[in-house]
Amino acid sequence: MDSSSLKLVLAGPVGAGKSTAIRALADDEPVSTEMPMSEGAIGDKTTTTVALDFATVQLDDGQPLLVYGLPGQAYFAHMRAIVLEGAVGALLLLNGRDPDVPAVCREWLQSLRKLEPDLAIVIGITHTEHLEAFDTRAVQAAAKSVGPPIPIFTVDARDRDQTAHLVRALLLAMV
Amino acid sequence: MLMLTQSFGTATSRVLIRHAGLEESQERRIRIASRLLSVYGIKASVEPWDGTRCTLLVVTAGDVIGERAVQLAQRRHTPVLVIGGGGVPDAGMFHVAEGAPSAMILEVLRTILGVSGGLPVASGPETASGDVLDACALVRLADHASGSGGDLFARVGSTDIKFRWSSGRVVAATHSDLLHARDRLGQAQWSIRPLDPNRRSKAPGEVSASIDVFFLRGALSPHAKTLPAFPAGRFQLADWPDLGSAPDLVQSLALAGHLIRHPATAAEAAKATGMPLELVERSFWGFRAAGLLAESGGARSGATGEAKLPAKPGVWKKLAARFGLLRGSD
Repeated sequence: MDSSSLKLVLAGPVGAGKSTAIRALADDEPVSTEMPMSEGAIGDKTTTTVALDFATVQLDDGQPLLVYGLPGQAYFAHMRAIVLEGAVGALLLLNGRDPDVPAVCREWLQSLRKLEPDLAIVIGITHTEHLEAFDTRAVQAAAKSVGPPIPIFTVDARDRDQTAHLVRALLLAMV
Repeated sequence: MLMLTQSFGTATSRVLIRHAGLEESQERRIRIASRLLSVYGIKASVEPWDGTRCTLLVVTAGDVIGERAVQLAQRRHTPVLVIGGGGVPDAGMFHVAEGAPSAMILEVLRTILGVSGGLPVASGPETASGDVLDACALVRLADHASGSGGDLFARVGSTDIKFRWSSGRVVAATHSDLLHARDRLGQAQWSIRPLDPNRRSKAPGEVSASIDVFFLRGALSPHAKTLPAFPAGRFQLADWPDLGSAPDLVQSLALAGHLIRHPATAAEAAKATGMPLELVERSFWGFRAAGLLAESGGARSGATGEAKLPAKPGVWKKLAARFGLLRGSD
């Protein structure tokens, strides 16, 4: 962990709530590269991040924590290694409404682990509260097929406290 | 084996357990296990051996007074539980290891008393026992979760709720139904039956929430004021609980972080996390009801059980301070 530039990365597929979570975490308005979705809206989501989201969170001693959001699109996968380098950890956000969320979870974890094998990761699953059949245990099982148990939380990405709770879990997962 | 035909909602069965030659720690574990029999509607009294009749005799292997008590008990066909010793099978004689935790003793008591495995279930409205400790729904559900753990349908008052341990969720018609049910986990007036996996009725607008948060909040709630002491033994979390929707439960998250790595008794966990013992025991009940807390057969891991800081403790502490981990309180 390089203390000169502290970096936190939010990863995950399109529509998982990365930009929203960064907005919830940030001290100021994030720098965003959102554009209208070229293939139409996904639910109430009408824009998508085409490069990076970026924001800062000021620590108690004034040092900024740099928060980056990785673009979810596969054609931006080449950017992941660059952004992840030196990160203190990653919040992997997944869309609970995706019926294939366990498979998506496994795919993203494998991708992140391949780039940064020792990276601390926690998972936040969004959009779950109105899903009667959502299966947290299936996502836990998928994650455990990739490595040791990691925190997997169902969260509301709009909620500042819940997003901060993901960071707390990330810190505890590092201990 | 004795056969008690007890189920929830009817009159409580009473048993008298007498003991001879037990060490203090053994007697304490017997008392805890006996108290947990209340989960099955059995009210157990634990008294020293005085030569009179009882439902069950518990002795320590090799104890002289205990051996005399066993001889008399066998003449009366009273079942005997022997703690320690070789464990030679004999009619009416049951054995547990010398250091067996209360949970294990409870299982043997259930066998001896003929209490069927898993959570007793009812098919209709139940009669309140009037004694919260004797039939606290949270304790019953915790026992179920640590046993078979099959999904359940429950009704408390006019509120229906589905416990889906298989998916880690609780489901109800509305958020207020979830809250209503959660705040009554310390009560007895619950009707519970297995949830038919082939009838996953999906009413429009139903809401679901983390079963881990549901039980943890229920256990920590002042409504659940009479939870019994958590069974003795060393426990570990099988997985991180889903506490995402409970950002106020910072200490419980830290406790989870400890228990995912370190098997611990409640006292050890309290010492390692700085949490009050009562709060740890309540959290243990919550984690157990969520189906995540399992007894660890192994010894305490690590030299101290204390949390270790990561490689860059200064950076970690700065982040922890910023995100409320170092000054959190539940």
